[in-house]
Amino acid sequence: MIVNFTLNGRPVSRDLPPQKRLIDVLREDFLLTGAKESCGEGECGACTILLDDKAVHSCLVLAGQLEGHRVTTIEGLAENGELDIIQNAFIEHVAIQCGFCTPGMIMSTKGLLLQNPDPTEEEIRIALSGNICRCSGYVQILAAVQDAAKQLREVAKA
Amino acid sequence: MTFLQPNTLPELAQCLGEMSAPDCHLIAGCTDFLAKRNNTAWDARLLISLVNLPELQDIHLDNNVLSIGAACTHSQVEEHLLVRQYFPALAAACGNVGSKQVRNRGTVGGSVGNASPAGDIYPVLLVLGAQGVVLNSKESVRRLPMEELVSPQGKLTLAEDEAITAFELPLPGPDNCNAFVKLGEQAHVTIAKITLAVSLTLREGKTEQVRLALGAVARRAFLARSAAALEGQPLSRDLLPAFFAALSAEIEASIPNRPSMPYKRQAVKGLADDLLAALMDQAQAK
Repeated sequence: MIVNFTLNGRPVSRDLPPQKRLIDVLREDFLLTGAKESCGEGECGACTILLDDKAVHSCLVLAGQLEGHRVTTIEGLAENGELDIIQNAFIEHVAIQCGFCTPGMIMSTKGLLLQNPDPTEEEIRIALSGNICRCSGYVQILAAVQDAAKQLREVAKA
Repeated sequence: MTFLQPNTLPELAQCLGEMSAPDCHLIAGCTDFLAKRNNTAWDARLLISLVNLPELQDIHLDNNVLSIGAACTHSQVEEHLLVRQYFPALAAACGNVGSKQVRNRGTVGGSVGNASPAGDIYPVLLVLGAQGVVLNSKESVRRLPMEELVSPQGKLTLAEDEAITAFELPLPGPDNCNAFVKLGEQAHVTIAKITLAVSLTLREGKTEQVRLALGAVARRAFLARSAAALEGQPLSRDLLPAFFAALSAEIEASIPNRPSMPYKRQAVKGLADDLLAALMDQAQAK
Protein backbone atom coordinates (compact mmCIF):
# COMPACT_ATOMS: atom_id res chain seq x y z
CA MET A 1 0.00 0.00 0.00
CA ILE A 2 1.13 3.60 -0.56
CA VAL A 3 1.92 5.18 2.81
CA ASN A 4 2.32 8.95 3.18
CA PHE A 5 4.04 10.26 6.27
CA THR A 6 6.61 12.80 7.41
CA LEU A 7 10.11 11.52 8.03
CA ASN A 8 12.59 13.85 9.74
CA GLY A 9 10.65 16.88 8.58
CA ARG A 10 10.20 15.79 4.95
CA PRO A 11 7.00 14.39 3.45
CA VAL A 12 7.57 10.91 2.05
CA SER A 13 5.39 8.52 0.11
CA ARG A 14 6.36 4.86 -0.28
CA ASP A 15 4.81 1.62 -1.41
CA LEU A 16 5.24 -0.56 1.69
CA PRO A 17 3.80 -3.84 2.93
CA PRO A 18 1.40 -2.66 5.70
CA GLN A 19 2.68 -5.27 8.15
CA LYS A 20 6.33 -4.24 7.76
CA ARG A 21 7.69 -2.87 11.03
CA LEU A 22 8.80 0.76 11.21
CA ILE A 23 12.30 -0.30 12.36
CA ASP A 24 12.67 -2.31 9.14
CA VAL A 25 11.20 0.49 7.02
CA LEU A 26 13.72 2.93 8.46
CA ARG A 27 16.73 0.66 8.12
CA GLU A 28 15.93 -1.08 4.82
CA ASP A 29 13.83 1.38 2.83
CA PHE A 30 15.35 4.66 4.00
CA LEU A 31 18.83 3.41 5.02
CA LEU A 32 18.48 5.19 8.36
CA THR A 33 20.38 2.79 10.60
CA GLY A 34 20.49 4.91 13.76
CA ALA A 35 17.55 3.11 15.38
CA LYS A 36 18.78 -0.32 16.48
CA GLU A 37 16.90 -3.54 16.98
CA SER A 38 17.82 -5.61 19.99
CA CYS A 39 14.92 -7.37 21.71
CA GLY A 40 12.17 -6.88 19.13
CA GLU A 41 9.49 -6.91 21.82
CA GLY A 42 9.43 -3.44 23.36
CA GLU A 43 11.69 -4.17 26.31
CA CYS A 44 15.09 -2.66 25.53
CA GLY A 45 14.35 0.72 23.96
CA ALA A 46 17.19 0.55 21.39
CA CYS A 47 14.76 1.17 18.51
CA THR A 48 13.13 4.24 20.10
CA ILE A 49 12.09 7.00 17.70
CA LEU A 50 9.58 9.84 17.99
CA LEU A 51 6.13 9.37 16.51
CA ASP A 52 4.28 12.70 16.57
CA ASP A 53 6.88 13.88 19.11
CA LYS A 54 6.30 10.94 21.50
CA ALA A 55 8.96 8.32 22.17
CA VAL A 56 7.78 4.91 20.91
CA HIS A 57 9.36 1.59 19.92
CA SER A 58 9.82 1.43 16.15
CA CYS A 59 9.74 -2.39 16.39
CA LEU A 60 6.10 -2.16 17.55
CA VAL A 61 4.72 0.16 14.84
CA LEU A 62 3.49 -1.14 11.50
CA ALA A 63 4.12 0.69 8.23
CA GLY A 64 0.39 0.80 7.52
CA GLN A 65 -0.15 2.75 10.72
CA LEU A 66 2.16 5.60 9.66
CA GLU A 67 -0.33 7.27 7.31
CA GLY A 68 -0.45 10.98 8.14
CA HIS A 69 1.97 10.77 11.09
CA ARG A 70 5.36 12.29 11.81
CA VAL A 71 8.44 10.16 12.44
CA THR A 72 11.67 11.58 13.83
CA THR A 73 14.78 9.44 14.09
CA ILE A 74 18.20 10.20 15.57
CA GLU A 75 19.28 11.26 12.05
CA GLY A 76 16.61 13.97 12.20
CA LEU A 77 18.28 15.64 15.18
CA ALA A 78 21.50 16.57 13.42
CA GLU A 79 20.35 19.38 11.17
CA ASN A 80 22.75 20.15 8.33
CA GLY A 81 25.25 17.70 9.78
CA GLU A 82 25.53 19.57 13.09
CA LEU A 83 24.89 17.50 16.20
CA ASP A 84 22.17 18.89 18.42
CA ILE A 85 22.51 19.85 22.09
CA ILE A 86 21.45 16.45 23.47
CA GLN A 87 23.89 14.58 21.22
CA ASN A 88 26.75 16.90 22.22
CA ALA A 89 25.90 16.55 25.91
CA PHE A 90 26.09 12.74 25.61
CA ILE A 91 29.56 13.10 24.06
CA GLU A 92 30.78 15.65 26.61
CA HIS A 93 29.65 13.53 29.56
CA VAL A 94 31.01 10.32 28.03
CA ALA A 95 27.49 8.94 28.29
CA ILE A 96 28.36 6.49 25.51
CA GLN A 97 30.33 3.29 25.76
CA CYS A 98 29.52 0.78 23.02
CA GLY A 99 26.92 3.17 21.58
CA PHE A 100 24.25 0.60 20.72
CA CYS A 101 21.66 1.99 23.15
CA THR A 102 22.60 5.62 22.51
CA PRO A 103 20.20 6.55 19.67
CA GLY A 104 17.30 5.15 21.72
CA MET A 105 18.49 6.92 24.88
CA ILE A 106 18.77 10.20 23.00
CA MET A 107 15.35 9.89 21.37
CA SER A 108 13.75 9.10 24.75
CA THR A 109 15.53 12.18 26.11
CA LYS A 110 14.28 14.27 23.19
CA GLY A 111 10.70 13.08 23.82
CA LEU A 112 11.01 13.92 27.51
CA LEU A 113 12.48 17.40 26.98
CA LEU A 114 9.90 18.33 24.33
CA GLN A 115 7.19 17.66 26.89
CA ASN A 116 9.00 18.69 30.07
CA PRO A 117 11.94 21.11 29.63
CA ASP A 118 12.84 21.08 33.33
CA PRO A 119 12.54 17.49 34.54
CA THR A 120 13.54 16.34 38.02
CA GLU A 121 16.09 13.56 38.39
CA GLU A 122 13.23 11.16 39.16
CA GLU A 123 11.35 12.23 36.02
CA ILE A 124 14.47 11.64 33.91
CA ARG A 125 14.96 8.20 35.44
CA ILE A 126 11.33 7.29 34.74
CA ALA A 127 11.47 8.61 31.16
CA LEU A 128 14.60 6.54 30.46
CA SER A 129 13.59 3.45 32.42
CA GLY A 130 12.58 1.75 29.17
CA ASN A 131 16.07 2.15 27.69
CA ILE A 132 18.55 -0.48 28.76
CA CYS A 133 22.32 0.14 28.63
CA ARG A 134 24.31 -3.09 28.68
CA CYS A 135 27.56 -1.23 29.43
CA SER A 136 25.84 0.31 32.47
CA GLY A 137 26.71 3.97 32.04
CA TYR A 138 23.52 5.28 33.59
CA VAL A 139 25.23 7.82 35.87
CA GLN A 140 26.84 9.61 32.93
CA ILE A 141 23.61 9.37 30.91
CA LEU A 142 21.69 11.06 33.72
CA ALA A 143 24.29 13.83 33.91
CA ALA A 144 24.15 14.30 30.13
CA VAL A 145 20.35 14.63 30.16
CA GLN A 146 20.42 17.13 33.03
CA ASP A 147 23.05 19.19 31.23
CA ALA A 148 21.21 19.04 27.89
CA ALA A 149 17.98 20.15 29.60
CA LYS A 150 19.80 23.11 31.16
CA GLN A 151 21.40 24.13 27.86
CA LEU A 152 18.09 23.84 26.01
CA ARG A 153 16.37 26.04 28.60
CA GLU A 154 19.10 28.65 28.17
CA VAL A 155 18.70 28.56 24.38
CA ALA A 156 14.90 28.91 24.78
CA LYS A 157 15.37 31.98 27.04
CA ALA A 158 17.85 33.68 24.70
CA MET B 1 -3.19 -9.94 4.02
CA THR B 2 -5.77 -7.17 4.11
CA PHE B 3 -5.00 -4.06 6.13
CA LEU B 4 -7.89 -1.74 6.95
CA GLN B 5 -7.64 1.55 8.78
CA PRO B 6 -11.07 3.08 9.39
CA ASN B 7 -11.28 6.82 10.13
CA THR B 8 -14.86 6.97 11.44
CA LEU B 9 -17.17 4.76 13.51
CA PRO B 10 -19.39 3.86 10.51
CA GLU B 11 -16.24 2.83 8.63
CA LEU B 12 -15.17 0.77 11.65
CA ALA B 13 -18.57 -0.99 11.68
CA GLN B 14 -18.17 -1.79 8.00
CA CYS B 15 -14.67 -3.18 8.64
CA LEU B 16 -15.99 -5.30 11.53
CA GLY B 17 -18.25 -7.02 9.00
CA GLU B 18 -15.08 -8.48 7.46
CA MET B 19 -13.95 -10.05 10.72
CA SER B 20 -14.25 -13.79 10.62
CA ALA B 21 -11.88 -15.87 12.68
CA PRO B 22 -9.22 -17.16 12.46
CA ASP B 23 -6.38 -14.74 11.80
CA CYS B 24 -8.41 -11.53 11.87
CA HIS B 25 -7.25 -8.99 14.41
CA LEU B 26 -8.13 -5.57 15.73
CA ILE B 27 -4.86 -3.76 16.41
CA ALA B 28 -3.93 -0.42 17.93
CA GLY B 29 -0.65 0.32 19.72
CA CYS B 30 0.59 -3.24 19.02
CA THR B 31 2.60 -3.28 22.26
CA ASP B 32 1.14 -6.73 22.96
CA PHE B 33 0.28 -7.81 19.43
CA LEU B 34 3.76 -7.35 17.93
CA ALA B 35 5.66 -8.15 21.13
CA LYS B 36 4.13 -11.63 20.78
CA ARG B 37 4.81 -11.95 17.04
CA ASN B 38 8.13 -10.25 16.39
CA ASN B 39 11.03 -12.66 16.15
CA THR B 40 8.77 -15.20 14.43
CA ALA B 41 7.37 -15.32 10.93
CA TRP B 42 3.73 -14.30 11.21
CA ASP B 43 0.87 -13.54 8.90
CA ALA B 44 -2.75 -12.57 9.27
CA ARG B 45 -5.77 -12.64 7.01
CA LEU B 46 -7.04 -9.25 8.16
CA LEU B 47 -5.73 -6.44 10.35
CA ILE B 48 -8.00 -3.57 11.34
CA SER B 49 -5.91 -0.74 12.75
CA LEU B 50 -7.63 1.63 15.17
CA VAL B 51 -4.93 4.28 15.48
CA ASN B 52 -6.34 6.71 12.90
CA LEU B 53 -9.82 6.90 14.36
CA PRO B 54 -10.26 10.23 16.23
CA GLU B 55 -13.53 9.15 17.89
CA LEU B 56 -11.65 6.33 19.62
CA GLN B 57 -8.91 8.68 20.83
CA ASP B 58 -11.15 11.18 22.55
CA ILE B 59 -11.80 11.80 26.26
CA HIS B 60 -14.88 13.83 27.08
CA LEU B 61 -17.36 14.52 29.85
CA ASP B 62 -21.04 14.15 29.13
CA ASN B 63 -23.80 14.17 31.76
CA ASN B 64 -21.45 13.35 34.64
CA VAL B 65 -19.99 10.42 32.75
CA LEU B 66 -16.37 10.52 31.57
CA SER B 67 -15.99 8.71 28.27
CA ILE B 68 -12.49 7.46 27.44
CA GLY B 69 -11.94 6.28 23.88
CA ALA B 70 -10.61 2.72 23.65
CA ALA B 71 -7.66 3.80 21.50
CA CYS B 72 -6.49 6.46 23.97
CA THR B 73 -2.90 5.74 24.98
CA HIS B 74 -1.94 5.18 28.59
CA SER B 75 0.00 8.47 28.50
CA GLN B 76 -3.03 10.36 27.22
CA VAL B 77 -5.23 8.98 30.01
CA GLU B 78 -2.59 9.48 32.71
CA GLU B 79 -2.11 13.14 31.75
CA HIS B 80 -5.79 14.05 31.33
CA LEU B 81 -6.88 16.64 33.91
CA LEU B 82 -10.33 15.14 34.55
CA VAL B 83 -8.82 11.68 34.99
CA ARG B 84 -6.31 13.06 37.49
CA GLN B 85 -9.03 14.98 39.32
CA TYR B 86 -11.69 12.28 39.60
CA PHE B 87 -9.88 9.01 39.01
CA PRO B 88 -6.42 9.03 40.62
CA ALA B 89 -6.56 5.21 40.58
CA LEU B 90 -6.75 5.23 36.77
CA ALA B 91 -4.03 7.89 36.44
CA ALA B 92 -1.80 5.81 38.72
CA ALA B 93 -2.43 2.60 36.79
CA CYS B 94 -1.89 4.22 33.38
CA GLY B 95 1.21 6.02 34.65
CA ASN B 96 2.98 2.85 35.64
CA VAL B 97 2.26 0.54 32.71
CA GLY B 98 5.48 -0.61 31.03
CA SER B 99 7.94 2.05 29.91
CA LYS B 100 7.26 5.54 28.58
CA GLN B 101 7.44 4.13 25.04
CA VAL B 102 4.77 1.53 25.87
CA ARG B 103 2.55 4.13 27.57
CA ASN B 104 2.90 6.43 24.55
CA ARG B 105 1.67 3.75 22.18
CA GLY B 106 -0.27 1.06 24.06
CA THR B 107 -3.98 1.78 24.49
CA VAL B 108 -6.43 1.25 27.34
CA GLY B 109 -8.76 -0.68 25.03
CA GLY B 110 -5.90 -2.95 24.07
CA SER B 111 -5.03 -3.55 27.70
CA VAL B 112 -8.60 -4.61 28.54
CA GLY B 113 -9.12 -6.42 25.23
CA ASN B 114 -6.04 -8.59 25.62
CA ALA B 115 -7.41 -9.51 29.06
CA SER B 116 -4.08 -10.42 30.62
CA PRO B 117 -4.62 -11.55 34.23
CA ALA B 118 -1.88 -9.03 35.11
CA GLY B 119 -3.41 -6.15 33.13
CA ASP B 120 -3.32 -2.95 35.18
CA ILE B 121 -6.32 -1.16 33.69
CA TYR B 122 -9.10 -3.72 34.10
CA PRO B 123 -9.13 -3.87 37.94
CA VAL B 124 -9.33 -0.08 38.12
CA LEU B 125 -12.25 0.15 35.68
CA LEU B 126 -13.90 -2.65 37.65
CA VAL B 127 -13.89 -0.79 40.99
CA LEU B 128 -14.86 2.49 39.32
CA GLY B 129 -18.03 0.88 37.97
CA ALA B 130 -17.07 1.55 34.35
CA GLN B 131 -18.93 0.19 31.35
CA GLY B 132 -17.45 -0.85 28.05
CA VAL B 133 -19.14 0.63 24.97
CA VAL B 134 -19.27 -2.01 22.25
CA LEU B 135 -19.97 -1.43 18.56
CA ASN B 136 -20.85 -4.16 16.07
CA SER B 137 -20.80 -4.48 12.29
CA LYS B 138 -24.44 -3.35 12.07
CA GLU B 139 -23.56 -0.10 13.84
CA SER B 140 -25.55 -1.04 16.92
CA VAL B 141 -24.06 -0.17 20.28
CA ARG B 142 -24.36 -1.97 23.61
CA ARG B 143 -22.87 -1.28 27.01
CA LEU B 144 -21.37 -3.97 29.21
CA PRO B 145 -20.21 -3.73 32.82
CA MET B 146 -16.57 -4.73 33.22
CA GLU B 147 -17.54 -8.04 34.88
CA GLU B 148 -19.34 -9.06 31.68
CA LEU B 149 -16.75 -7.72 29.25
CA VAL B 150 -14.16 -10.26 30.37
CA SER B 151 -15.12 -13.80 31.44
CA PRO B 152 -13.90 -15.30 34.74
CA GLN B 153 -11.57 -17.43 32.60
CA GLY B 154 -9.93 -14.24 31.39
CA LYS B 155 -11.34 -14.08 27.86
CA LEU B 156 -12.98 -11.12 26.17
CA THR B 157 -16.65 -12.02 25.75
CA LEU B 158 -17.33 -10.06 22.55
CA ALA B 159 -18.55 -11.52 19.26
CA GLU B 160 -16.11 -11.48 16.36
CA ASP B 161 -17.83 -8.54 14.68
CA GLU B 162 -17.70 -6.39 17.84
CA ALA B 163 -15.14 -3.90 19.14
CA ILE B 164 -14.75 -1.88 22.33
CA THR B 165 -14.96 1.78 21.34
CA ALA B 166 -14.89 3.47 24.75
CA PHE B 167 -15.12 3.09 28.51
CA GLU B 168 -17.69 5.15 30.39
CA LEU B 169 -16.92 6.09 33.98
CA PRO B 170 -19.60 7.67 36.18
CA LEU B 171 -18.08 10.67 38.00
CA PRO B 172 -17.78 9.91 41.70
CA GLY B 173 -19.08 12.24 44.40
CA PRO B 174 -16.81 14.66 46.28
CA ASP B 175 -16.35 12.19 49.16
CA ASN B 176 -14.99 9.43 46.94
CA CYS B 177 -11.40 8.23 47.21
CA ASN B 178 -9.92 5.82 44.69
CA ALA B 179 -6.43 4.39 44.45
CA PHE B 180 -4.36 1.77 42.65
CA VAL B 181 -1.15 0.10 43.79
CA LYS B 182 0.99 -2.49 42.07
CA LEU B 183 3.69 -4.92 43.12
CA GLY B 184 6.17 -6.04 40.47
CA GLU B 185 9.79 -7.13 40.38
CA GLN B 186 10.93 -3.52 40.17
CA ALA B 187 9.40 -0.07 40.57
CA HIS B 188 9.13 0.71 36.85
CA VAL B 189 8.80 -1.22 33.58
CA THR B 190 7.37 -4.19 35.36
CA ILE B 191 4.57 -6.69 35.03
CA ALA B 192 2.28 -6.88 38.04
CA LYS B 193 2.61 -9.76 40.49
CA ILE B 194 -0.31 -8.37 42.51
CA THR B 195 -2.41 -5.25 42.09
CA LEU B 196 -5.02 -3.66 44.33
CA ALA B 197 -7.57 -1.09 43.17
CA VAL B 198 -10.10 0.49 45.48
CA SER B 199 -12.91 3.00 45.34
CA LEU B 200 -14.75 4.10 48.48
CA THR B 201 -16.79 6.93 49.97
CA LEU B 202 -15.79 8.72 53.16
CA ARG B 203 -18.78 9.83 55.18
CA GLU B 204 -18.21 11.56 58.50
CA GLY B 205 -14.71 10.17 58.57
CA LYS B 206 -15.82 6.58 57.98
CA THR B 207 -15.54 4.40 54.90
CA GLU B 208 -18.60 3.28 52.94
CA GLN B 209 -19.36 1.52 49.66
CA VAL B 210 -15.92 -0.01 49.42
CA ARG B 211 -15.17 -1.67 46.09
CA LEU B 212 -11.86 -3.48 46.05
CA ALA B 213 -10.28 -5.44 43.19
CA LEU B 214 -7.49 -7.95 43.44
CA GLY B 215 -5.51 -8.27 40.20
CA ALA B 216 -2.77 -10.58 38.88
CA VAL B 217 -3.97 -13.35 41.21
CA ALA B 218 -6.77 -15.23 39.44
CA ARG B 219 -7.25 -15.43 35.66
CA ARG B 220 -9.20 -12.21 35.80
CA ALA B 221 -9.04 -9.40 38.35
CA PHE B 222 -12.08 -9.72 40.60
CA LEU B 223 -14.05 -7.76 43.18
CA ALA B 224 -12.59 -8.93 46.47
CA ARG B 225 -14.55 -9.87 49.59
CA SER B 226 -11.68 -8.37 51.59
CA ALA B 227 -13.37 -5.02 50.94
CA ALA B 228 -15.36 -5.82 54.08
CA ALA B 229 -12.21 -5.28 56.16
CA LEU B 230 -12.23 -1.64 55.06
CA GLU B 231 -15.97 -1.02 55.42
CA GLY B 232 -17.41 1.33 58.05
CA GLN B 233 -14.06 2.33 59.57
CA PRO B 234 -12.05 5.50 59.97
CA LEU B 235 -9.19 5.48 57.45
CA SER B 236 -5.99 4.70 59.30
CA ARG B 237 -2.93 2.49 59.30
CA ASP B 238 -4.62 0.59 62.17
CA LEU B 239 -6.72 -1.17 59.52
CA LEU B 240 -3.65 -2.94 58.16
CA PRO B 241 -3.63 -6.14 60.29
CA ALA B 242 -7.27 -7.01 59.58
CA PHE B 243 -7.04 -5.93 55.92
CA PHE B 244 -3.89 -7.97 55.38
CA ALA B 245 -5.40 -11.04 57.08
CA ALA B 246 -8.50 -10.81 54.88
CA LEU B 247 -6.48 -10.39 51.66
CA SER B 248 -4.12 -13.18 52.60
CA ALA B 249 -7.00 -15.59 53.24
CA GLU B 250 -8.70 -14.55 50.01
CA ILE B 251 -5.55 -15.15 47.96
CA GLU B 252 -5.14 -18.58 49.56
CA ALA B 253 -8.72 -19.48 48.73
CA SER B 254 -8.51 -18.15 45.15
CA ILE B 255 -5.36 -19.95 44.04
CA PRO B 256 -4.76 -22.76 46.57
CA ASN B 257 -2.54 -24.82 44.25
CA ARG B 258 -0.62 -22.09 42.44
CA PRO B 259 3.14 -22.19 43.20
CA SER B 260 3.12 -18.40 43.65
CA MET B 261 0.38 -18.51 46.31
CA PRO B 262 2.66 -18.65 49.41
CA TYR B 263 4.54 -15.63 48.09
CA LYS B 264 1.47 -13.64 47.11
CA ARG B 265 -0.43 -14.20 50.37
CA GLN B 266 2.55 -12.71 52.24
CA ALA B 267 3.62 -10.02 49.76
CA VAL B 268 0.15 -8.51 49.69
CA LYS B 269 0.90 -7.02 53.13
CA GLY B 270 3.20 -4.34 51.71
CA LEU B 271 0.73 -3.59 48.96
CA ALA B 272 -2.15 -3.29 51.44
CA ASP B 273 -0.04 -0.81 53.39
CA ASP B 274 0.71 1.18 50.21
CA LEU B 275 -3.01 1.26 49.40
CA LEU B 276 -3.95 2.58 52.85
CA ALA B 277 -1.22 5.22 52.57
CA ALA B 278 -2.51 6.35 49.16
CA LEU B 279 -6.09 6.54 50.48
CA MET B 280 -5.04 8.52 53.55
CA ASP B 281 -3.08 10.99 51.40
CA GLN B 282 -6.19 11.56 49.30
CA ALA B 283 -8.49 11.87 52.29
CA GLN B 284 -6.17 14.47 53.85
CA ALA B 285 -6.06 16.49 50.63
CA LYS B 286 -9.87 16.77 50.58
